Amino acid sequence: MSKIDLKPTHTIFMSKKHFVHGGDVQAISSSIPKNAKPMAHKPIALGEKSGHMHIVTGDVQLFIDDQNTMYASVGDGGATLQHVHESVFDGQYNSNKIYQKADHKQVILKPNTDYKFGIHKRYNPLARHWEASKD
Amino acid sequence: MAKNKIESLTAEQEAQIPLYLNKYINNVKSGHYRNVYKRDTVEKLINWQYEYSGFAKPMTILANNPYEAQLINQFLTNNYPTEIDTYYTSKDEDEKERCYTVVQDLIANYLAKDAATDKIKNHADNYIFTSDVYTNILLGWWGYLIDVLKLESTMNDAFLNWRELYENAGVFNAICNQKVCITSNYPLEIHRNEEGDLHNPSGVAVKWSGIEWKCYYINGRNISDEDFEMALSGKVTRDVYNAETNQDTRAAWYEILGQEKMMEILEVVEIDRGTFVHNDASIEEVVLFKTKKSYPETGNNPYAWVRFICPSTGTNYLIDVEPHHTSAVEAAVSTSPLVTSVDDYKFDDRA
Repeated sequence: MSKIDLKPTHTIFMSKKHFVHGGDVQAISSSIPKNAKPMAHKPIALGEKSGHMHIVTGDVQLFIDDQNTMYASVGDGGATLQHVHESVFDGQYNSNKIYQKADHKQVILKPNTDYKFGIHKRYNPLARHWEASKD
Repeated sequence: MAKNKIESLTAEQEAQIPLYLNKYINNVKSGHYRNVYKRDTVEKLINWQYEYSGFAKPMTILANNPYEAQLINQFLTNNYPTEIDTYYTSKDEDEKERCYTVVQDLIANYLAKDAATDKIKNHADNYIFTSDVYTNILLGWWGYLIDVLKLESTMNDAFLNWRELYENAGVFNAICNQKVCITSNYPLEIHRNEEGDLHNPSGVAVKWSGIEWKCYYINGRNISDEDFEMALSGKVTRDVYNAETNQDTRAAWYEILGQEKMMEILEVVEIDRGTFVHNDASIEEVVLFKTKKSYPETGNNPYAWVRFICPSTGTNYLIDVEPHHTSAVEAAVSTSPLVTSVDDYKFDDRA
């Protein structure tokens, strides 16, 4: 019986994930699931009382799947994850304008890349389950 | 009456379910019920309900909230004005209105002078499902069956009449005595958590107009004024916390005081400290803390937190983690919504 060589015949290059966070919001490069639907621009997360919000601006289309997970497809023009106070944001989601930051500096999202978003989790020791952290 | 068994819902019928679910919640959230809560609309509902049950029309008194309604009910019971009897038996509308005014003045005087310090000694529980906050559930489900599934029944006409009256009266609940019915308005504000339970760690979860009625709730649990305000006023010390045996109270204090204050109160020890070297070459240090003791409200486990430091502001954030962790970095990764391993927890940019 001939010995089977299990070594790969060529090197497989794995595309490296782009993983970033701006405060409570994390984003990782990821394909957008087929069941995700395009959605109008809105904040990725809102502060409960602070008036702060995490927004994605620039050349970007948001999507949402049936689990309410949000995705972004960033085009040639690139996009930015920003943390701003609602009072300074003029609603120009499609602009690459950098707004005055609230707490967290802006984070660049790569052009021609799709992202999945998630909110930092907190374990609720009383209810004994995980929930999105709040600011 | 035709009998048709429905085996499954059509897509159109299913699509109507959330509309019926949300309709009555929206009536509360939008302020619709508070807007329509007026003497004439409320009397129409109450009179219909009494007549439907075979009783004469009562004198209907509008209170601002259920507690105020209880106080008014107790006041009228203890200081029964004969004008109520006259109102009940008279056919003369002018005379009825005069009696109504006398009783209203007595109540207004009581509310202005004595009610704030009065206590409920005899709680009235003679509420009825046709004029109550729970009416919304019945109207929603039964309305769906009639409107969408075309259910035919002998009570359809009565139901449709009742629904019309309730939706345009905005009665939170009603204490139904034979001669006097005391109704309550809906609240001004309602605070809820993500699960929809009443919840507000910084004040009342339900705010009412009228005589003050403090409704404190934490994750759906009603917390007494005394316990809630003790935490708000900074009177919960380590000794007080450890002496408290009520788990709901302790859980409420945790929510009200916040993690940092609770760590101070609960005697926290450092369990582990670790670092991540991220892809942007930044180094992040995380620390795992736990309480020395275990607590019944957490399932006889210690409380556990990871301390993160915000790279933008330098602020310390204490994020609760499951109590089984012994490694700070593993506990930190467990809070990520997107990755699950320490190897993958390498940010290309952090802010």
